Amino acid sequence: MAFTFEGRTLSARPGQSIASAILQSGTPVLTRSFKYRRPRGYTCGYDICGNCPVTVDGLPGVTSCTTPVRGGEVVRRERGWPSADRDLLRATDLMARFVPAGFQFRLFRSRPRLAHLAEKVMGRVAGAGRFPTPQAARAVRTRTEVDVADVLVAGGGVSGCAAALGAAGSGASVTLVHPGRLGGRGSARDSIVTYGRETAPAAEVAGRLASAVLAHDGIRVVDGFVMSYFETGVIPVVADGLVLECRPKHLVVATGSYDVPGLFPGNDKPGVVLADGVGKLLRVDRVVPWRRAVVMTDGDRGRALADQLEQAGVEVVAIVVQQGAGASPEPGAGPADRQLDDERVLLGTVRAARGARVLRAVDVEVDGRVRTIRADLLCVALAPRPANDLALQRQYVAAGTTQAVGGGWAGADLSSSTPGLSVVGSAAGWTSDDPDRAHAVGAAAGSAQEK
Amino acid sequence: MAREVGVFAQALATWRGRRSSGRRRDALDRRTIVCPCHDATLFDLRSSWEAGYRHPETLKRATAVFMGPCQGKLCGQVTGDVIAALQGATEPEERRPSVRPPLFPVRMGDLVYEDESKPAGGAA
Amino acid sequence: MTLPGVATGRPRAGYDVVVVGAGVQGLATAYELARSGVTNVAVLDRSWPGGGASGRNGEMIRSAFSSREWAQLFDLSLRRFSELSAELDFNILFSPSGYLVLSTTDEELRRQDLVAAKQAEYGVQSEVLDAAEVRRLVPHANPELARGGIFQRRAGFAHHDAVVWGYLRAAARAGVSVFSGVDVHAVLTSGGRVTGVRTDGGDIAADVVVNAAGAYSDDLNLTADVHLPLVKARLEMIVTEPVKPFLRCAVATPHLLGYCHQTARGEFVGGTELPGHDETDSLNTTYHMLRDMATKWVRLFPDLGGVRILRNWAGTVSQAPDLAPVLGEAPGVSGYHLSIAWVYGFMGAPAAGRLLAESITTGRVPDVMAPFDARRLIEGRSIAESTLVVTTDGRS
Repeated sequence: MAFTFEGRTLSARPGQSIASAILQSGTPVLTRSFKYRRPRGYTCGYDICGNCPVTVDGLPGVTSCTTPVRGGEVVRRERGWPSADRDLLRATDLMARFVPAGFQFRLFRSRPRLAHLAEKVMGRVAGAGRFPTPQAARAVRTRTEVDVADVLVAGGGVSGCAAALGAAGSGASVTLVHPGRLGGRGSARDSIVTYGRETAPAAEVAGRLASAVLAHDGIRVVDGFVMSYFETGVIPVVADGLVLECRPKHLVVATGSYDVPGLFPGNDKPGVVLADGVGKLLRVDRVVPWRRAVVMTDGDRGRALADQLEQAGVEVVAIVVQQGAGASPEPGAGPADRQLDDERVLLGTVRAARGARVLRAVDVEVDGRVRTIRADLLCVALAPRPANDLALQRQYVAAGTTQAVGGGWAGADLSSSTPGLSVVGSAAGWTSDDPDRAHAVGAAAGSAQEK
Repeated sequence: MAREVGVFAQALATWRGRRSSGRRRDALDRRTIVCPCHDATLFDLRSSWEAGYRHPETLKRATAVFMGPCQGKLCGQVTGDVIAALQGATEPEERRPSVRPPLFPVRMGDLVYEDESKPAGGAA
Repeated sequence: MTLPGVATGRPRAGYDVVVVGAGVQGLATAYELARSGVTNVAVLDRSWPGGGASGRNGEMIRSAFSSREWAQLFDLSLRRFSELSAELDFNILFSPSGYLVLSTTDEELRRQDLVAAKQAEYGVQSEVLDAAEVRRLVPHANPELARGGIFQRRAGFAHHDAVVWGYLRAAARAGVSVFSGVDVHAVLTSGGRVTGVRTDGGDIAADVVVNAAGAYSDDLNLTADVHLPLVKARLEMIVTEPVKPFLRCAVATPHLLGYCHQTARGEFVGGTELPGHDETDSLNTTYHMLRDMATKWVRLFPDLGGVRILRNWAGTVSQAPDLAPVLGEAPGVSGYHLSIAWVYGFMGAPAAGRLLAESITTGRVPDVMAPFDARRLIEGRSIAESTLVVTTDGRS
């Protein structure tokens, strides 16, 4: 398949994302940042970072990391002048110390005319896509359909598929919603998983679960995403050209997890990529745009990613096991200790990502000394946090207000018994794949509907 | 719970480990992006906090975290960690800003009622 | 502390004036009181300042209304908005980009000359636009809906949080104490006079109490035995991802019951209302309303269909049958002042704060404020304003 990217013709395999095809062509900068016009590239792989919007056939804000190449489309980057590669307005980045958050409230406060002018200039300069062309805008059309399934499963990863099979197995009608191919982040994992009598790598189990879901008559699979949980219990699902109004008796949230970014100067440079994004590029898009990698981790995840990278031919020069803020782990208990036999492991802290436009090197502090390690990939593999947004919305409505629900940060307790809601997998904070458990939760939800 | 402590440690380590203060620390925090959508930096969060925006909801409005296309998916945890670190706690005392619809951006055209005669413009 | 300017301790046992609600109304009133020398003032809010409708509105400002009462009150506000940044030493990002009220129906088109003539009589300058002129001003609008309009050039919008923060800081500098996290349960009265308020942290004495509690103002009134025919309403808004500037001015459409503008950052912000919506405290948004908004905005700006909605939120107000605010001393309780029933509260606050402070400090009700007295609701009189983009249908 081929598409046009800023005058060039790029090719892609079916199912490959637009971002991965652009990356493969040797273009690491996908956009410029909103305020400082900093170069940005592929980061998350799952539409959680806002670093990859492109304009496709006149439609702005298309998430290129999750949008597959269709063939024949015209793709442009949206920000940067004259181009996203060389943006003269990057100069605003050098003025960063003069324009921190809130500077606009101090600027020209006694000069209303100047203030208004400054605002107009800001509107022109701010990184944003163009207004859609009439043709592009009119192509966005939707029909609405009512879905009558008893159980709605949001998310088709390992846990979501298992829960859907559980619910359908106990006789309930099930709709499963998942953006893109079933399998989720599990498709890029090698960890060993048990499902029923079978024990295999997560990627294999994910594949088998996905096939079983697709083959099951009682499960409707929708390629789309859950928009929100609304008052009165309606859960709209947005798919291509379709809004599905679901009013399930039971909602199973299996939305997985979000990667957590690292906190260090230069943490937004193209080449600094979150673990799920790396996994997806290697295993799903099958694109390897890097040569030398540093992996940053706070647990076991780093090593798994390092192994995947090496299998794909990327040299992993260091696995930096982040050393926390003073509280040293129990001897022998921490992941760092388990990894000491690996010569790539450095017990230290990532201090900075370097490189003028894209990542060239990583500064790592070990034992009080900073080493600069050359690399074109810094894979950030920190413990992810539950993608609990949908479950939180369900709880707001249950509580009658957005004000009353406590916490909501990563440690929020979602197991609390909100009737009609179950949360499974990493969305519930499970630290490893447990399809048997998810299946049981789904079965319980399904059989409750039968009575 | 171990994981929150781990991430929280990241925020603290960022500052403690540097053994730097004042201008040097400010310069580093200015190049540390918390919210890529709006280029809100660690410096923005810290200085807004120090100026008095000490509630997740007011810090959100002061720095525009949680308000970009990601709606907090990427910046939410880090923001929470920074607030916690500034409070000297492992999790912020206040709840996170509410999760507003839609969970992912939706094109306006995708929400238009196909039957135009139906609800819109009924006020005439 | 939740915001710069918020006091850190607990409230004292007594103040000259207690203002309930640290929204834009309460803070503007407190600021104006302090400016006229009354500085022993406490503003109490159960949440963070600006957390209610003050931070959830459409940010739009105009004075080109069809009635004398509205036009004069809001013209004072508009004048205040243009001087506030300098006065508060805080840029409230007032953008005088102009405000267009669209004419869509034959009736609206027929009336627009008359309305503009009335506005001129009230001292509000506006321009009547025909279809071609509207087209030049808002080229992306659907010509079937944008058939004419009344354009007020010096109107526009401001940043709602900045207005709250600016008032808050300036009030605090002038000596006002603003507390967040203090829940007022009741207004205390004795023998037809207000004596203070009861809070979750104890009673606070005051000779003057101002009710600026927004959606909860009616609940507070009941504790002082003040009964007004107010109903709660939920208004909802959307914001899109930023796009390059396509909409130069603020636009309201009475036909679609909507109002919108594009921020300096490039986000399109729009709000609409459904006739006959629910009465609720909930700040959750509703699905039907979201789709209705999208439908309306895409009808008005067809190409907006290709822009992504980032966020949808709701705010609640407590409104009167005629949708006009209630300003002034409460009937039957001396010392208990009301700045409530606001539906256009953000745009009215600078005027209301000044007028209410003036009436509290001088004991005389300014002419511009007088028509908004609560007695009109008890006596069944209403202020007739025809260019509003909200409706009372099915409400009262």
